[in-house]
Amino acid sequence: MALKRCKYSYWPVYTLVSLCLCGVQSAIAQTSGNITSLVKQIPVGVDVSSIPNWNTVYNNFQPALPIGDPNRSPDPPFNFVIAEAWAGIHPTPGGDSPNAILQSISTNITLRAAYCELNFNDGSPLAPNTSQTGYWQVQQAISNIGDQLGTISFLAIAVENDANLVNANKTPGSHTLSKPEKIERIFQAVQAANQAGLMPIIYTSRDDWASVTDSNTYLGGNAQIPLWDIDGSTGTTIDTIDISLDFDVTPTSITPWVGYGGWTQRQGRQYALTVGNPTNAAAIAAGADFDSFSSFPIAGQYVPPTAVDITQQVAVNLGRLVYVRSTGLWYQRVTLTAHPGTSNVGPISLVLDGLTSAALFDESGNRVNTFTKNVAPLNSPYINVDIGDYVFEPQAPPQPSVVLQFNARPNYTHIRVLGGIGQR
Amino acid sequence: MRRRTSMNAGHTICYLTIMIAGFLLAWASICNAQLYNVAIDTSSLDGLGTYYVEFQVTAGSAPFGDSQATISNFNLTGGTLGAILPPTQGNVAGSLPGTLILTDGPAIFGPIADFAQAFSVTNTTSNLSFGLQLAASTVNTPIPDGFTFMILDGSQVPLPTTGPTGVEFVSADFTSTTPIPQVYGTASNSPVIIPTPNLTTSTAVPESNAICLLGSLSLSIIRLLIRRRDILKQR
Repeated sequence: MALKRCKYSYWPVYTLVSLCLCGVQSAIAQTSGNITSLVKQIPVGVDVSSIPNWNTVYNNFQPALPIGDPNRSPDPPFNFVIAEAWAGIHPTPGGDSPNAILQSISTNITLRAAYCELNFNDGSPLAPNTSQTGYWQVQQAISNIGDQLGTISFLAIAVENDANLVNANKTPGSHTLSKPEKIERIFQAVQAANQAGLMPIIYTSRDDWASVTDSNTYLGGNAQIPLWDIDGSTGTTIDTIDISLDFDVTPTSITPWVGYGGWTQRQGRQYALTVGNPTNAAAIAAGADFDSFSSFPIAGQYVPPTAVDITQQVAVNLGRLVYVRSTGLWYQRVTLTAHPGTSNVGPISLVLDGLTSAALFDESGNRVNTFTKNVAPLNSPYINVDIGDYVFEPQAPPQPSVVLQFNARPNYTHIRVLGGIGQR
Repeated sequence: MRRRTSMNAGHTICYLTIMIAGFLLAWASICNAQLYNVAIDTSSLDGLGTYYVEFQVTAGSAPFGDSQATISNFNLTGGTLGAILPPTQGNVAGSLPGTLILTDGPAIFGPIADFAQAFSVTNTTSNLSFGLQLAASTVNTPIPDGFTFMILDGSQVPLPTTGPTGVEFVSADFTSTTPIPQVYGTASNSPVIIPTPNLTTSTAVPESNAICLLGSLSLSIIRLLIRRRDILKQR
């Protein structure tokens, strides 16, 4: 815990409010002169990739302050952009790839980030009839970001109780995820972001988090994963009050923000999705959001946590080898059983040390390209094991297992089990 | 000098005798394995062309050559056996429908014994059956030796099953010297439906067991005779 605090203390703490709605500013101005004053000193930002023809919108977007105002930000008028890198079902609905968007954004923009919206229904047609794990979905996001990965400060993991992501559009034959399985999927996504060296932030609302995770408190509490909070309300009044609260303006009527899911503070805030008036209707329709961030790390300087070696707390049962002529592959089922009395946070990974005679493939037949880079021995391939929950404890059969595939008879010398959201 | 040579020869014979006796005792253990009868309803394959039965024994961790599967009494009703599907790999002895013996070594044979043969079904009441004996002289860890029986389609792709690796109708991990086979039917994504094979045990004691024990006894007697001769020479 102390280490995490130390890690966060390295971050240069910026206060950044990103506004994309002139109408919101009007509303704020009516509420408090102090807030208006604050808004004058802040840049404007936008979720670029959810806007079709975002470049046109970007260029024509009216900055918060008129040209010539001494408090207006230098061109471009934005100082925060976040690109949608994975939309749960599709790569990006906006048209331009997040890679192209991030490439074309001015370097004057201080904070650039990306987000990965999780599906909980295996609904993407890109991988039908497979478990679209948190790892897989983050990998889609990372792939879409491409060579711009090193320029972003964080990867937001969006957890929303959207019918399109939770129930509808299920791949035929896929099973409905239980709540523990949904939580495991979020943990997988957080781990995958850490593995890629990207700081994970959870983007959710109080209601969404409760619906999807039963208000799980591990990520917000023990793990101290930052929260980018969506205001769950849709009215203008409470949003305005939140802004008043966050920027230390204290009208007597405000209600303090109450934490949830283990979070006692919010690094990021998104105030309204539906606030509007005729002047900003177009921007709202285009998907622009109104966000602020209290602090964030400089891109490339995030230090991920490290996974925990739990090998001694798990019985690893190696099955026999089977050779299949048609594929030329060797198959082996490995089953994990938690020792009595143990409880370890997932996700869980199986590491094969000393594997030199063969390459490892996952259950979908894809060559495994994840290797240990933080927990020695390094450069050992590892494969993730679905345990059906975010904690691995003794449970009734069947025990979690995975079928390993090799392109030659394997000769690995040692097997390890790693757990937690940290880097392997 | 002469006496020393005699002693060395005696030692060599002694060691050889121990090794052979050990091998035969291990072999006796294998011969003493439980006989399982496997029956598979293959009626759903009627008129669908060529399929293959595939028997496989794989070596896990060292040593090799210590586990064996014996297939006997192979019988296919309502169908015909076709040609052997090459390559037959490793230490495989015998042929179908006779007795087939697959052993996971020794090393010179490689770590896999694999045998496949074509068959086709021409009757809606077809049934495939065989006797199966599994035995090992040692249990290998951490990766056990294994026995797997698969059915391949005409493209030599295993029919998907509910087995541990998704391809086996009958399988066993050699986690004991006398492993018990497990049976599985086709999975929901299989193009044909084959129910879980029927597995029964037989009370018959294989006659080869007696031969093995007799061999061990004979070697012991030979060893005793040699020792007696050496003692007489020394006098």
